[in-house]
This record gives sequence, structure tokens and C-alpha cells, in this order.
Amino acid sequence: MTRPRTPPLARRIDAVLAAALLTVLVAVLASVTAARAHAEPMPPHAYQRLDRVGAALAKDPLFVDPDLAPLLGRADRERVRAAMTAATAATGAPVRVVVLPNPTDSESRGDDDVFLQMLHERTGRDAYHVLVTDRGYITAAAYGVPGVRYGGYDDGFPPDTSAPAAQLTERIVHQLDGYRLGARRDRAVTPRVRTPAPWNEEDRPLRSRDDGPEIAAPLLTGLLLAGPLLGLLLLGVPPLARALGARRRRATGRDAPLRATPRHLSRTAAREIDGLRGDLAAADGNPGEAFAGAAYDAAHLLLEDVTRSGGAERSGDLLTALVLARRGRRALADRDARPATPCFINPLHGPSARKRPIPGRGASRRVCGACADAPRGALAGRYLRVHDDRGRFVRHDDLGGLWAATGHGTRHDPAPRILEHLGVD
Amino acid sequence: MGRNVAPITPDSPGASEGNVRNPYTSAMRRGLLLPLLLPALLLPGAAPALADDDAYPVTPSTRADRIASLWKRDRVVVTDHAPRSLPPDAKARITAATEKLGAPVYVAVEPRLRAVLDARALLPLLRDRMNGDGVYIVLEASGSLGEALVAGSATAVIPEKAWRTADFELASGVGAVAVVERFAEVVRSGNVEARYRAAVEAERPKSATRKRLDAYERARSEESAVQWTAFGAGTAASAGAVLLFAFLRRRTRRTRR
Repeated sequence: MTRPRTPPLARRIDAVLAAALLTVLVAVLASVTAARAHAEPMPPHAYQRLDRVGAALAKDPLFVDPDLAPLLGRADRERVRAAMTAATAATGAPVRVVVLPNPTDSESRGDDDVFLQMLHERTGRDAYHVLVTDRGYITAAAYGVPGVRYGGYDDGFPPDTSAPAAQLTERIVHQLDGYRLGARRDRAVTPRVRTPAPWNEEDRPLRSRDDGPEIAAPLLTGLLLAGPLLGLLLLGVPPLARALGARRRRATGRDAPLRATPRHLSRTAAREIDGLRGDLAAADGNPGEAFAGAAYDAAHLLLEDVTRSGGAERSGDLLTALVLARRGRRALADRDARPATPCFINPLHGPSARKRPIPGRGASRRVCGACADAPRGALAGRYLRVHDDRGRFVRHDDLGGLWAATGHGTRHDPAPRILEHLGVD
Repeated sequence: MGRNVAPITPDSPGASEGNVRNPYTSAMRRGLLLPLLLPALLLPGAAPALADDDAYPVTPSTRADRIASLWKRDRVVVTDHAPRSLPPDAKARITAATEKLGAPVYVAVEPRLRAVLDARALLPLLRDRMNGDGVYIVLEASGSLGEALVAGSATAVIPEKAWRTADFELASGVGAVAVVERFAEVVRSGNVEARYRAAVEAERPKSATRKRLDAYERARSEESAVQWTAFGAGTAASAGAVLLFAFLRRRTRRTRR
């Protein structure tokens, strides 16, 4: 192989990306041309009111539609005319003011800017046009005459939309004065060309695409994106589960809890003692029999004592009985007269394997293999915790009483101590 | 102050029950709060109608003057502010439809002037200005919000319920011309009572906009179902391929060992 080959997957991705980009471009172009094609010419009756307004404006530059006649009284009209004359004198541009309702079913579809544009197109007269609608909105557009720079922009909204006729005359005069003072001769800016809304298509749904559902895009997305991800996810689940389980097992040694409730201790102790009894019954000539027998006596009596006493929590005593019973069973199972003491960190881990220095305890202690391999900083979290006499979880080596007297499990032969504690000789 | 009123301190007996001098809490305790507040809750909302706003100069009264002055010249008045809702021959068609119904019919097709049309406020004013003899119809260009008032000698010829029958039989937004033509047809049919009952009980027919929206939604949900199926198929296919590939690889690895 002399030249590097692009892997087949990368080549496929390139092709897919290129196809996607091309599709997007084509779609954009198509939608743009489609929008242009849909703009139909206006029917002739759309211009009916424009012609009426245009004809009236030819005689009088201030036009108030008879339907809105009450909006401007005689005095108001005089004031507006005065302002119009002043503006024309100052700028040299003709000024036309139209007071007209512009509902959404008008020829301009309620768009005041479109109305002024259509009016200018229809009448062909250059002027500074001002439209005042029934809702109090004032729109102005300068066609072919000096425009107004953006300083002092007034959006023409009525200050209070619930009272659109409030101070209407003042606002119109203000608009005209703004033109008079703000008009600049150096530029005649034509307002942006607007397209009137297409006729008879006002209620069309927004999306004009009627070519049915897209199949390729979701299929490819599933095939190339979601599918592989899902497959990898499913592949990863069993190993992940196994890893989590193994971690937990490693952490606790052999399914030993970190926090043992008295109930757990008493049940486990009872189980171990029963098991020890059974093992003892079958033992014959076992070197560990002596140890196991003493262990059984002590543990069994201790457990009975705890059970009889009821009330107080005696986790330390339960732990003593449990650990001793286990050691007894181990003595029989391994045929060992000196079974190992339990792991110091967590006696429920099982028999200890080697010594290691324990932080905070000074001397080295015997611990199980897992604890021996654990890093120093992790040891504190591996301690067994049981209830103290007030019911709070404490580290087992902080307990007093019988458990402490047996060295927190480290004493090799605790049985005599236990019997002495119980008052049995 | 002769009354033995202990000052309310945090530890005084009545403190935890609230200050009894506060009328709201005492009203609350006696269950009077809702009845006291009910008038405020029932006040109408902010939708403007021509009658409500005193500050707006265009009132039902001024509109009635204007329409009456137009009716004196021509009994059918059609606004030119709404060409998108009305066909070019609207006036001719309405005139023809209401021609020989047995009584003079006055029709005013109104634009929406800042607020929705309040025909019920307008019609009595119009009747007073027009000598109260005939049928007076006022409606919006879209055909909605129309009302009719039959007055004087016309009550003998034209049933009161004819207008409502026509209104209910048609979908909304069909346009003023269609509603007036239907009204004339109902009057001419003479079967007003039965048709009125049928129209009132039946559901209003769906408007064109409603039908278009329903079809649009149906199409979109069908599209969506197809697209999700395609997605699911693609996902299943390639996930299956990945799993199969891994399985086969594991197998060959095992046999190779």
C-alpha cells in the first residue's frame, strides 16, 4: 500500500455532508424563487379607495375620510393645515396628510407603509406623505423629497393605545414640525420598497411546501447517527454492569457491608452459630475441634444473653459473637487450631492475611488481602461501622465494652474473657 | 377612648389571628371576601367596543349619522376600506338580493374602525334617524357581527329570526355578500321557523380557514408519523448492524483462540 486510503466511513460521511449542503442550497433557492412567483398582481377594485383618496388630495392636501370626520374638528384641521404650510415653506417639499382607517382587509392588508407606497405609485406625486389611522398610528414617508435624518425618531405610536384619539392634532403637528426642522436637502432617500401581501392568500398556512413527508433525512439520521450510537450504547451496557459489580466486590472484600445494623449482626451471628453447631456435630478428630467447641460455647451464650436482654443495642457483643463463631467454623474447615483473627479494618471481611501499618493506630495490624492492597487514603472509608449504645454509627474500633476487651477482634482466644464477662465460670 | 382596646403586640392574644381592625382579614374570616370582591372580578375586560370609550370621537351616534346620510341617497352602502373581504360587485349583488322582499331593506357594510362593530348599539339609533320603517342591516365586511332590525310595517312581511338563521347557517368569514344573499333567500323561502331551529341546534359549519388549518394539521401529523418511522427504521437497521458486527467479531475471536 503506497498511498494512504481514506477509510470508507470517512468517505461516506463526506458524501453525506456534501449532499446535505447541496440540498439546503437548492431548498433556499427554490423557496426564494417560489415566493417571487407567488406575488400576483392586484385586482382592479383594490385601487378603488386609492383613486378616491388621490382625487381628493389633488384638490386639498389634507384629506380626512368621512368615516373618520369626527377625529378632527374644524379648528384642528386649521392647525394641521398651518403646520403643513409651514413645513412646505421651510423645505420646499409638498406635504400631504391623509386621515384614513386601514383595517387588515384593506388593499394594503393593514400595513400603513404599504398604503403610502401604493398611494405614491398610483398618484405619481412626489411629496412628504403622512398617514393617520383610526387607531392613532402616524406613519410618514418622503417620496422624491428631502428625507428626515434619524435624529429625533418618533415611531408614531399613540402614547396610550386605549385612547388613540388623545391629542391627535398635537401629534400630527409634532410630526410635521419634525419634518420641517429635520428635513435635509442633501439626500432624497426613497423608503424601502415593500411588497403588498399577496391577494386571496391571507389565510394560507405558513409552510408552503406541499411535497409530502421527508423520508431520506430521518432515515439517514437514524442510519448514520442514532443507530451506531444506540448500537455502541447497547454494546457497552454488559461490560459496564460487570465492571460496576466487580468494583463493589473488590471494595468490600466479600459482600461485607460497611455499616452493619444490629439486626444484620444478630441474624448473621445466629446463622454462623447454627452453622458452627452443625459443623461441630460432624467434626471428628479435627485439630480445630477444641477451639471450635470453646468458640461455640462462648458465642452461643453471648448471643443468648444479648437476645434475652432485649432493649439496649449491643452491637459490640453481637460482633464479638459473630466473629468468634466464624473463626470456629474456619478452625474446623481448615483443620486449624489457631485460626486467623479477622481483618482489623472490617472484621466482616473475613480472616486477615498480612500486617500493614494503619494510619492513626500507630502499630501495624493484621488486615485482609484487599485492605492490605488498598491505598492508605482509602483505608478510613473501609472501616466497619456499627451502632454505639446511643444508636449512632461509629467505627467498630471506637466501641468499648466486650468488643474492646477482646482487642477489637485481635485477641486470639477471646472465649475465656467472654465467659468471664457473662458471669459463667 | 372609652373602649377597652388593648394594643396589638406580637404577644397579645389576638395577634395570631391577625389584626381585627383590618377589614380584609376580618372579611376573610367571615367568608365575605368573595362577595365583596365580586364586582371587581366581573368588570368587563379590555376589548374595546365603539360604545365604551367616551374619549374616542367616533361613537355609535356619529356612525349612525354618517350611515343614515348615506342611506338617504342609496339604501345599500358598502365600504371601500375592505376590498380583500368583498368582491368588486358586492354592492350590485347585495342590491339585487334585497330587491323585492316586500319591504325596504337598508344594508350597511361597515369597515372595522378601531374597534369591533357594535351593531346592537347602532341599529336603534339608525331606526330613529330613518323614520323606523323597513329592515336595517349592519354588518362587517367579513360578514361577522351583523345584526338586523325589522321595524314598522316591515315586521308583518319579514320575520325577525330570518337574519339569525342566515347567520347561523353559514360559516364565519364567508363575506358580507354571502350573508345578505342567504338572508334574502331565507326570507323568500318562507320556512324561517324550522330553519331557525335547525340552524340554532346544529353546529356552525366550519369556515374555510378552519378547514384549511385542520387539513394542514392532519397532513403534518401524517408526515410526522412517516418521518419518525423512517428514523426508527434507520436506527434499528444500523444498531442491529453494529451489534451483529460485534457479535460476529467476538465469535471469530473466540474460535481463533
